Amino acid sequence: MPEGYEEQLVERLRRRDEAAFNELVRLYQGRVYRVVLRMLGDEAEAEDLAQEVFVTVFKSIDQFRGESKLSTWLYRVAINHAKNRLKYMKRRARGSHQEFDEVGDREGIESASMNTSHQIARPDQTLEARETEGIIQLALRDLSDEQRELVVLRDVQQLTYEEIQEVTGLVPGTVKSRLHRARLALVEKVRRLQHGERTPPETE
Amino acid sequence: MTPDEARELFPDALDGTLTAAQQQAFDAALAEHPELEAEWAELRDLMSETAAMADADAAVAPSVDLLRGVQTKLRRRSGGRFYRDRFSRDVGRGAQMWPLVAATVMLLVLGTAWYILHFAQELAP
Repeated sequence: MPEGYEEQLVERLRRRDEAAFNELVRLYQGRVYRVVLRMLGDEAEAEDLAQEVFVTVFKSIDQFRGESKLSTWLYRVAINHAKNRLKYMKRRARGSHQEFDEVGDREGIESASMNTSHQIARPDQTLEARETEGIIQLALRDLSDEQRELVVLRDVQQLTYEEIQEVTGLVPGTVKSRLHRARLALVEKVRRLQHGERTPPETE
Repeated sequence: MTPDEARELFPDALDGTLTAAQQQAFDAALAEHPELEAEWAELRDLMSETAAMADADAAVAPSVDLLRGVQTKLRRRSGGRFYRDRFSRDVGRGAQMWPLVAATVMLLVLGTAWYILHFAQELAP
């Protein structure tokens, strides 16, 4: 990205320049989509939510003070949206939770891996890799929202600790210690899933 | 180094930021405590699988271009102020009155026709 490009883009966005906004969406839609997809685990929800993220950015660009990179601010908006959507989805699913669990138990790990590989089509990978990815995605879904956020940002999106600090508002030491706890929780969830057990999702 | 001390180094070991002395002590602790080595291997393997997932993630894209959906939402929510569609832009606000004008003219024509026919019948011998 050429030097000064981001500042110019933000300036144009503040003037509600539609061409600038189109550029922004084209430039960042993949990254925003991937982070919300990993947070939500559902392709259709992720596409809809990624659009909402950009609508919010369009409306709220004046709140971006330029203290962080634009991409970091976008991640923050995306993560906040994803957490709100997860809360909404949990409320909506609460009524049918029992039924969901029964289906999950019946179909086990296979359904989880197939479900994920359906959501994120990866024809070039081996079946084993897809199953592993499916298990990790399912285990991610069972983490608390805060833990999932940290693992997704660091281990999947590969943000630096400083960027995660800017996205989450946590101090660097806290990011590292909470991330470690989240990783250990992920290890535990994956281990249980590999042994055919399902654990209830972490409560907030 | 005790197993707990070694566990505290797991994050830095994953990041590859241990000093040479720390790395040496860490490796010695792993060699000395098989259960610690197993814990470390499980975490390290999962993180490398997650990293592989991250590499593959770069190719993951939405099934549709999100821009169109974003534009539609913005147009609707701004009441047409942003991202007006081509028709609205081409015809302009004044031209949006045409359906109303056409309906009014149509009513006048029908009303006049009815009036003429009505009186034509009354005046007929």
